[in-house]
Amino acid sequence: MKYISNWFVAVLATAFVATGCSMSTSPDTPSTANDVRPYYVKLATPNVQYRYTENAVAEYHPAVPSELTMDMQGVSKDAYNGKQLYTCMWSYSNYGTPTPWYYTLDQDQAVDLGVEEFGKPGEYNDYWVDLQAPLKEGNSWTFVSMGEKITATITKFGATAKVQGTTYNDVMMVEYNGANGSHVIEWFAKDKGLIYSNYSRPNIGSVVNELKSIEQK
Amino acid sequence: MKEYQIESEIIAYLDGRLNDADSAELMHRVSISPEIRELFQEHEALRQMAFHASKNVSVPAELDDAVFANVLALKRAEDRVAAPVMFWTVKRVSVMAAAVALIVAGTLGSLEFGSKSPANLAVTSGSSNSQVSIAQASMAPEIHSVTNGAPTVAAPQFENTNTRATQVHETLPAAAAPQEEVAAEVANMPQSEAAIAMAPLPRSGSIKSPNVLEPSARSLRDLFAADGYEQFEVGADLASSFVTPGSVGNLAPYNFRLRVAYNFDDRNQIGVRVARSKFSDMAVSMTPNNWYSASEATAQRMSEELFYEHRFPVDNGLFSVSLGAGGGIFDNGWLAGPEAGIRIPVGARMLFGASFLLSYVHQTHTALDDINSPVIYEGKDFQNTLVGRIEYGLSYRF
Repeated sequence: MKYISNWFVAVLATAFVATGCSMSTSPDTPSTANDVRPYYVKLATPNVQYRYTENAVAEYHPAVPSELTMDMQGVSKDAYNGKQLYTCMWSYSNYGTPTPWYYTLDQDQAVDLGVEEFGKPGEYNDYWVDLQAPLKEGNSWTFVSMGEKITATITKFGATAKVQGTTYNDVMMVEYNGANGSHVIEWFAKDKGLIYSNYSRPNIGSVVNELKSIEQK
Repeated sequence: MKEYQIESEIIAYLDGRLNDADSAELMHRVSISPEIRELFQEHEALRQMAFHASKNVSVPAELDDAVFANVLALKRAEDRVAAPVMFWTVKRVSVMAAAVALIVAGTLGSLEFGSKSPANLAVTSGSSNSQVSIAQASMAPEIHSVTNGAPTVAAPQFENTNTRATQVHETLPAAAAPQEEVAAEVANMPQSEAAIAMAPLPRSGSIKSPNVLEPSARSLRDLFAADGYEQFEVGADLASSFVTPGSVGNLAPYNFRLRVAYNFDDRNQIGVRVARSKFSDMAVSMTPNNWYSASEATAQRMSEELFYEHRFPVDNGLFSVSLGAGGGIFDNGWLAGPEAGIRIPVGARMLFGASFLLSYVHQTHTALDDINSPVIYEGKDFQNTLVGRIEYGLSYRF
C-alpha cells in the first residue's frame, strides 16, 4: 500500500508538471523580421492568383460588391528607381477590363506603384509603401502618395486573423494615416501576402478587400 | 518469549484450562522458581481483586438514574451541536487558520470567504460540559467476562452508538429505576456473567454504549468509523480561478462547484461534480471601419466532471492531504487534470477542504471560430488552454 501511495503521489506530481508545461509560453513567431517579401503577395511567381471580395464606394471601382482577381505576371523587363519592377494583372468580375499594376519589391520595401500613367511609359500614378523593413510592432515609416504625406505604423505583429472564414497565423497589421485624412488598414500574413485591406481616402473613396483564395494557375 | 509462555500457562491454570499433568508441572515450577512464583502470585491476586470488586459493587438507583440521564443529555447535546467535545484543539485551530490564510492570500483578498468560514462555525460549536459527562460515562467496568469463576481483565472496548438502541432507552421512564428488571435479567444470565454483573451492565446488554465514549472525531478515519459506514459525501465549494490565455492575470473569484462522491473507504472516493469556472475566451470589438478586433478574455462556463480522490492522513488524521485527478466536459470541449488539497474535519460529519486543480482544457472550436470576420487578434488563436482553480468549501458525509 505504501508503494502504491508513493507511486500515486509521483504520478500526480508528474501530471501537475506535465499539465503546466503543456502550455508553451514562448511565442513561435519572432518579434521582428528583416525581409518584407514573405509577407507580401507573390509577385515573383507567375500565374499565382489572389481572389478578393471587394466592396467599394470609389472612383474606378465597381459600384456593387465584386470580386477582384490579382494575377501575378512575375518580373518585368523594366526597373523603377533602380529596383526590380513586377507586374500584376487586376481584373474585376463585373467591372472594366484587366489592367496591369506595377510594384517594386526587395528585401527592404514593398511598394505599390499603381497603374502606368497614360502616355507616360515608366511613370506611375501612385507610390504606396506597403511594407518596409524591419518589420516589428511599432516600427514606422513615411512616404508621399498622390501628394499626401502618409505615416505607416505596424500596430500588430505575430497576430492571428480570420478573413472570409479562414484563419491566418503570423499576421501583421499596418495602419496608414495621411496628412489629408486618409486612413488605411492592411493585414499581411506570412507566406500568404495581403489578406485584408480597408482604404479610406478623401480624394478616392473607400475600398474594402478580403482575401478569398490563393491559387497557382 | 519464555516469560510470555509461563504467563499463558498461569492464566490457563487460573482459568482451569490446564490438565492435571500440566498443572502439576506448573506447580513444580512455581515451587522452585521465585520469579515464576512471584508472577503466579500477581496473577492470582489480580484475579481475586477483580472478582471481589465485581462482586461487591452495588450501584444505588439514584446514581444509576443520574448516569443514564447524563448519557441522554449528552446524546441530545451531540445531536444539537455538530462538533464533538474538545474538537478545536490549538493544533487544529492552527491548521485551520493556516488554510484560511492561504486561501485569503490566494484569492487576493477576496472577502467572500469571511462570512462563510467554517472557522466561525466552529468557534460557536464547542461544548465544555460534555467533558464531565464523558468522564462519568467512562465509569463502565472493564471486567466483562468470567470463566470458571475466575474473572479476566480485558482491554476497554467502546462500542459505537446504536441509534435504535438509544431510542429504546429513551422510551424508558427515567424515574423508574428498573431494579426488578435488572434482577430479572441477571437471573436469566449465565451464572458466570451474573456473578460479575454490575447494575448498569444489564442495560448495556440491550442498550449499546453511546458514542460519547468516542469523544471526538479526530480524523477522517474516526469520521468514517464513528457512525457506521459513511459511504457518501456531498459538498459545495467556492472557487477562484485563473486561465491562460485569459484577460485575468490573477485569480478571479466567485465561481463554485457542487460535488457528490462515493467513499470506497476512509481514504478513497470517486464522484461527480458540477462546476462553474472561467475558461479562456475572446472579447471582440468592432472598429469604425467595420472590422473586428479581438482580445483575450474569459467566459464563465459550466462543466460536468468525474473525479477520484485519495486522502493521506497527516498527524494521526488531524487533517488529510488529498491528491486526485478529475476531468469532464463543457459546452465547447473537455478538460482533465490533477488536483491536490487538504481536508480538515470540522465536525462529526463535516469536512473543510481546499483544493488546487490544474486542468488542461481542449476546446472543440478555437477561440476565433465563432467570431465574425474580418477579425484580428493580437496573439495566437487557441484551442488548448489551462485552467487553474482554488476551491474551498465544506463536505458532509453520510
